Amino acid sequence: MMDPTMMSEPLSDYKAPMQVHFSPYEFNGGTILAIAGEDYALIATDTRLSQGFSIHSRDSPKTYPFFDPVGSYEREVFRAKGSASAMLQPLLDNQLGGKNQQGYQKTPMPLKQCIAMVKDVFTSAAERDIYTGDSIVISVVTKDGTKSEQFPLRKD
Amino acid sequence: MASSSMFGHGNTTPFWTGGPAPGQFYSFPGSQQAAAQTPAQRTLYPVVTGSSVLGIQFEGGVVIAADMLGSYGSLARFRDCPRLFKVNDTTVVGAAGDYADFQYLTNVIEQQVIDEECLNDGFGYTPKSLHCWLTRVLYNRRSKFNPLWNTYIVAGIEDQKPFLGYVDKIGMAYEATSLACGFGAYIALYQVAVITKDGVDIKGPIKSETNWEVAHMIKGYE
Repeated sequence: MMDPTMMSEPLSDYKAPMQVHFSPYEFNGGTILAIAGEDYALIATDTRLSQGFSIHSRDSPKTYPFFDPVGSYEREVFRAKGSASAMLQPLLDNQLGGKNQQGYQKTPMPLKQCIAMVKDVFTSAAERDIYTGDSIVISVVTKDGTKSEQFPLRKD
Repeated sequence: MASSSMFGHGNTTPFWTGGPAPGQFYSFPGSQQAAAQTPAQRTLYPVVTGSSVLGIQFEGGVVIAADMLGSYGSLARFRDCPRLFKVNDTTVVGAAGDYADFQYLTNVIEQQVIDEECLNDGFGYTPKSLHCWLTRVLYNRRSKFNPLWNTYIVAGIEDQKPFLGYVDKIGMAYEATSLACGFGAYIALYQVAVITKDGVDIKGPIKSETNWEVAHMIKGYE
């Protein structure tokens, strides 16, 4: 028996545009890193906003000046999250956590050295992760308040 | 008695076997059954689409440009679709994506501008406020799985400073000194709107001249 829908089937040359499925989510990349020192806390993010192979914005920081805990949380001393987290975290484990070091003696890292390390790990991540780059914003919180500085990364 | 057996009352053989049931091919208007079977209609893919919008800030103003091609899939279906919409003397919106959704939102904004005008309080849309409003509308629609299939670029002047903002169909938004969306549909007419402190000036349609002298050297796409 003939399928009645066959009659309304358009000629193959005149089909409707190809269907694109709607997804309410997009991956915009970006990496964040936070470290708690002895007398400071520090949070750093890159400023790239991307989608696939294109960069939307090179100056879109992901830090905002308030810290309300929402959802589940756990206190940590250092943590990297985002697209290059797997590149940052092992280095922090080694430098701050003393992992894979023989005869390691735990000494708190001074702020100056910590900022230099943050710049290094982000520079390294920007070499391999296409979703991390352009620049980083490092915000340092001490008893005297919050200070931010920007540091350039590779832009490709 | 004779008529009841004639029209099939108590008869095991149906009057017409193997044929379509009444109403099988035609949904009568107002039929409850037909309405219940039809799922809600949503923009799940764009139909007539526009592509590129470009915005650049300069000292003392913003320039925004969009081509005028309305594509139907790969067919260049409409050649004079304006995709820049002047909201007021300080604000212009450019859109890429589904043209019908853009026209719908254009009508909504037009009505909002009229409502605002009626209050006569001297307030109206600014580029920042319109951009902010668009992020909420688009994000709300994507959350209902019923998106407006567009990318919008809002250009304007606010507090004597140029403004350029981007919003896409999922509500992702940012500001930048230069913005672009979509692919360049280079073989089309385009409009240019220059927004300075003196107001909005939409130029065009301007015909873009093309040069196909090198076309014979391109191989491998036949």
